[in-house]
Amino acid sequence: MTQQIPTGLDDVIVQELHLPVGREIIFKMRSQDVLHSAYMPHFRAQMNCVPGMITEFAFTPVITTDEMRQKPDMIAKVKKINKIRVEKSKALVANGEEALEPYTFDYLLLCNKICGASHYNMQMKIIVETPEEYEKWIAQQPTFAQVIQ
Amino acid sequence: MSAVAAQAHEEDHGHHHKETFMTKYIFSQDHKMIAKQYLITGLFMGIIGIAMSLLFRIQLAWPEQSFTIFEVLLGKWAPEGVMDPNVYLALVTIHGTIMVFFVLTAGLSGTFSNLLIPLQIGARDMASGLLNMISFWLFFLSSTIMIASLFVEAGPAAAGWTIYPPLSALPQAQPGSGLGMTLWLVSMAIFIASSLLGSLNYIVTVINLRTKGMSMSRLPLTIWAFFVTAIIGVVSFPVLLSAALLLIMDRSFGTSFFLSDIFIQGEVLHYQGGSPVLYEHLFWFLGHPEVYIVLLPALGITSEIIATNSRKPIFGYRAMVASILAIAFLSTIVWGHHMFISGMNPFLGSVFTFTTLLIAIPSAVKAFNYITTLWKGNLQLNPAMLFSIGLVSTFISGGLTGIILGDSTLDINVHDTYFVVAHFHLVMGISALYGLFAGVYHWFPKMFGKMMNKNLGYVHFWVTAVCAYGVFFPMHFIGMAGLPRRYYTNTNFPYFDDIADINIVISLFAFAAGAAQLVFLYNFIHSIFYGKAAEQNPWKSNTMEWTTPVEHMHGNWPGEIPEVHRWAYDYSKPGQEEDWVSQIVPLKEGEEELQH
Repeated sequence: MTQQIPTGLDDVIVQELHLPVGREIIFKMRSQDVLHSAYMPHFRAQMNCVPGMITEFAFTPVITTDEMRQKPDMIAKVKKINKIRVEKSKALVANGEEALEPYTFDYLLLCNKICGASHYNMQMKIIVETPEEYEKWIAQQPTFAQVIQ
Repeated sequence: MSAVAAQAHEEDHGHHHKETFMTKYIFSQDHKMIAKQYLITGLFMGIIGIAMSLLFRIQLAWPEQSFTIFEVLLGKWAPEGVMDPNVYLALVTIHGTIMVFFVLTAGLSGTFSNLLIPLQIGARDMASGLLNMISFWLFFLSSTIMIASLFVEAGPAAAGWTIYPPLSALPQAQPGSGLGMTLWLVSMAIFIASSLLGSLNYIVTVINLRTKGMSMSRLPLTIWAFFVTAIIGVVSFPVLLSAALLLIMDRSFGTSFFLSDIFIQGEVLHYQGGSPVLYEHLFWFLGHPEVYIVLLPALGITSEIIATNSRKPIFGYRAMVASILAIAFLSTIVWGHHMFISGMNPFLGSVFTFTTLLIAIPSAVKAFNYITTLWKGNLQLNPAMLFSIGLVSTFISGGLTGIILGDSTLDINVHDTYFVVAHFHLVMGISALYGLFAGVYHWFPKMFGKMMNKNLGYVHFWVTAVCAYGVFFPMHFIGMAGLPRRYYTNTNFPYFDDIADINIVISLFAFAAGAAQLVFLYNFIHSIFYGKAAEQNPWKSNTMEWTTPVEHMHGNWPGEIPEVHRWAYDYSKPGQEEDWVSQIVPLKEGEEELQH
């Protein structure tokens, strides 16, 4: 396999998406089972993922996750959400269940094309960070070659 | 038809046939009976479709909680009373399918085209009574299959009403893509056959069977709407049939029209070279004209009811006809606006944006003409009129968001969110439903010879009107906040926690709206049996259906069919004693026909 796709050896497979701020990001998307749609509401970006073809779009993130968390609107929203979560947790704890974790803002990537029973739970965190933070993070990620060794 | 044959035909209708129960009520070839059959089947399907929406509204308001009603109605699909995610998807799928096709296509067009085309153009019956009967029974068969699919072991189709492959094509993708999906496709194929037979019949009847003097420019706008709707149906429904057949081939015979390069559940499938985007093109080539198949009959009904109850000629008759024709033409070249983010070439996006925004022009002409017809009219605010005005309201408020969604760049942000749900429910769902209700209240005396209760009609309208906005107006905001549609619950996204309350409000409005429909049902059934007897022309309307006797008869008119001497909208004409003049009244000496 490594000989068949030598160009793929430096790929990085991740569970959350880190993007450097201020750089154009080109997304190339495929799907291996059914239609999905990569929806990033905060970036007003969306594109279907289609089996058998590659779809793409691009954007430049301009606000880092940290900056977004400091915005007065966002602070108010997160405060409101956490108040609701505390209320909900009271009921849960009374039932002997675990309390909900407090919420902090993160950019979202979610599936927006009906794709089966788990459609409502198909998501990934997006972190927009400074180029330095991004370089540090990507250096720590194992490449595909390292993973399959 | 030669004079002799015509006379023989007259005589044929002159004496009464011996009718059995079967030929009168079941396998009837009389258009008035078929209209009633369509209406009652459509209402029955509507009850199921609306009940399903109430079930998933419970789940959306109080996600993953246990309800006895789920346990009772859903059985094993709601273990311990908690709805299963697969069932949620099945409910939204079948709700959409039933409401769009079975209620608002067959229930609306089927009822009123059948009832009104022969009566308003002065014909004894449809061009082919037999095809008309077959059309209804195919519709009934497809309804039965669709309902039967709810009872198969793995559940009904669950890929959304658009059933995009590969999700709908692969039985291993989800339980709802098994037998339930096969039945869905078979049901829809039969439905399309029914719709085509009906549409061909409507077209032929309008072209050939108009009575003497009923020129195309004297046709009531209802007939124009039904006629053009039938043409759109004949042009676009076969394309959906082809999509359904190709999907059946992919599902059952190993072809790869819509499938390529698929790995599912660790298994590599053999499909190669197809594209789901092809399916989307085929589907939406019907799917968008379908919006107008649903909406135009409602607009036609509204034109008629607003003119009658404003006691004024319809404003801009020719503009109304032209805009119906323009909408029909444009409806076939805008389907790509459903596919801006499908992976279709972005250049096509700008083309479809252009054609889509053009539709705003004839739509605005219609809205303008309704308002100018109402302007300074002697308004008779009966329930039919209120629902017609309600339609104008939802048509405008739903149409405005269409301008946003029709623009490819703006659409990207709200595509497949609740913003879209709000838009299409208002502009076609609620509008067409209002058209259906308006039509039932207005032509109930013609259909059943009885009057419906006015006060119950007012209750029905006002609760429905307030609740419809209560349900769909807030959805615009949660859609713009990024909330995707077709999510079983939003609790996995803390980001959406602060809009959970709005979902409860929406659901409460939905339940109240559902209760209001019970008032309508009660009024409908009660009035059939115990309603006040109707007079021949209760709304003092000009069109020809009100010149037939209240008691239904084969052939519609005893004796000869009257001749038509004027257009349908001579309301409050100067020089006349009454504020209406039936189409069959000859021009008085010196009276000029209105140049409309």
